[in-house]
Amino acid sequence: MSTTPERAFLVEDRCEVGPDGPHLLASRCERCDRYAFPARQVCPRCKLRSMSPVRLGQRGTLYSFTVCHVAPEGWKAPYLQAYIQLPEGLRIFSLISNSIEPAGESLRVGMSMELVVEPVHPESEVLTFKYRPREEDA
Amino acid sequence: MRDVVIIGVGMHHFGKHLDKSLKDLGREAIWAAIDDAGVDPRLISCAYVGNSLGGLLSGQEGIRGQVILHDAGLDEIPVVNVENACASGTTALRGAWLEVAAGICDVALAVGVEKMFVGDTARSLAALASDSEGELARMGMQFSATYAAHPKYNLRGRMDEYGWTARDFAEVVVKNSRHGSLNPYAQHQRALTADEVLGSPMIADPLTLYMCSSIGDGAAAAIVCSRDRAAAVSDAIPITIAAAKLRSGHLFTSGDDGYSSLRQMVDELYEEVGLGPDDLDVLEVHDAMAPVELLVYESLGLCQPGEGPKLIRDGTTAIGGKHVVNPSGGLTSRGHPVGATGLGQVAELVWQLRGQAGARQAHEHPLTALAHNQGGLLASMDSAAYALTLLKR
Repeated sequence: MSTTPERAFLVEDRCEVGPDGPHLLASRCERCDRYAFPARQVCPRCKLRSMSPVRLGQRGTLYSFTVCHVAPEGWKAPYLQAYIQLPEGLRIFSLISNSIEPAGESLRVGMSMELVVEPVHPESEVLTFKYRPREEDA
Repeated sequence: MRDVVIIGVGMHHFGKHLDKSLKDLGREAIWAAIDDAGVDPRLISCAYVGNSLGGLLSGQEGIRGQVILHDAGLDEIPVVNVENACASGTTALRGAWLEVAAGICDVALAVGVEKMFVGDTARSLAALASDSEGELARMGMQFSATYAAHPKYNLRGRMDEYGWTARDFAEVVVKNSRHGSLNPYAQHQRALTADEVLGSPMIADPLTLYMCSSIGDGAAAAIVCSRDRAAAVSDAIPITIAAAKLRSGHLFTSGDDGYSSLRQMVDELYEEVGLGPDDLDVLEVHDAMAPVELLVYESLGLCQPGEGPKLIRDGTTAIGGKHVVNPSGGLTSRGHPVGATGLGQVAELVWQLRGQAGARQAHEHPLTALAHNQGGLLASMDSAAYALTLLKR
């Protein structure tokens, strides 16, 4: 059983928090073993409704990142935007943890990252998944 | 399929036109194209109207095409409303091409129109964000930053991989702004220096303000005709539509790293028309952020991976070079009123192929031209629409 926090997620159906921490909600094709995120029912390669839900682990590596100096309405600049390489072979869009200074000086491409669930920004009531450098790699 | 030619093109200046409506912008471009073709407007027997943001920004959610065409005096014809984000204009042209190629009608109109300045920049940018899949915008995706870090572009990563510098990126703007300074239809008509580009405010490292296209108002139109009827209805130099390709993006799953929709499509195009990159005399490419032009060179096979800055430095892609890219100034200088952009590219290339581009004429006699237009970002990591239009004199 998952124990998803009371507070709302920014985008539903992307992640959940279980007793062993947060997990991304993805899909895996029963036929060709490909993964997809966000979760979907139809495998685009097999063209079959052959995908089943799967929870991904918490590890990834930092594929790329940038500091946004302008923010869309409701967001605060500067903030960090990144793509994370997952061991399942997916590259996904993610924000970076609020615990990391927004100039991104401590980030290095290729560093080991872990999944966290946090408020969108420190004053926000809304939660989202983000990544932060793993302790031993920070 | 019948051969299809463009007999007329027209534009409304791209820029800030607070006093003009979608109707005003569209009417001017449509009638400029009619005048350019010298065609009897009663012969136009179908129209495709491309627009992306007019529903959100003007409130005219439905029947925008009919509203615009009626204002231009064109009624009682099939009107198809086209929305395909930043590729709406080229998608409209493809529709008109298809009608004529299929023999449904002899003369068809394509128009792209966009009105983004509404006196409230936040509202314009929020509307623009709706050209990406909803969840991405809600998750805080910032459009310029996407080009800096998205695996397809990853401009920051290319700096490490290829040794590209911020100055290499600025030099693309220097070239395109010099071209734009020669274009009376361009939104930004001032030639910029590399220092000015690098000194403009940082938007998303390494992209500075002057490397990014800006919001704009504008319209562009083209009139297409079957080749066998062209001489009877118009005295203009006919420009052949040799290919009008459109596809949606790739839905990425694990193991798809490195897949490029654009490269795939370019390879198909070359195969279909029996041409290669060497044959391209003049091009308009979708430089929503100017440095992306360097990556488009690679996808088009104009250079090996990483060698884009060399083409800028040696003038290959500047006016007078072997492959002139963005003689209009491109999206960053000519402007990017999203639904009008694709037809703006096509209008420029028609003028180039006819030898009517004035001070920004690429060569004396270019024979083959390519427009690359692209739009929308999906959560599955690819653009929503890719469009390639190959034109020949």
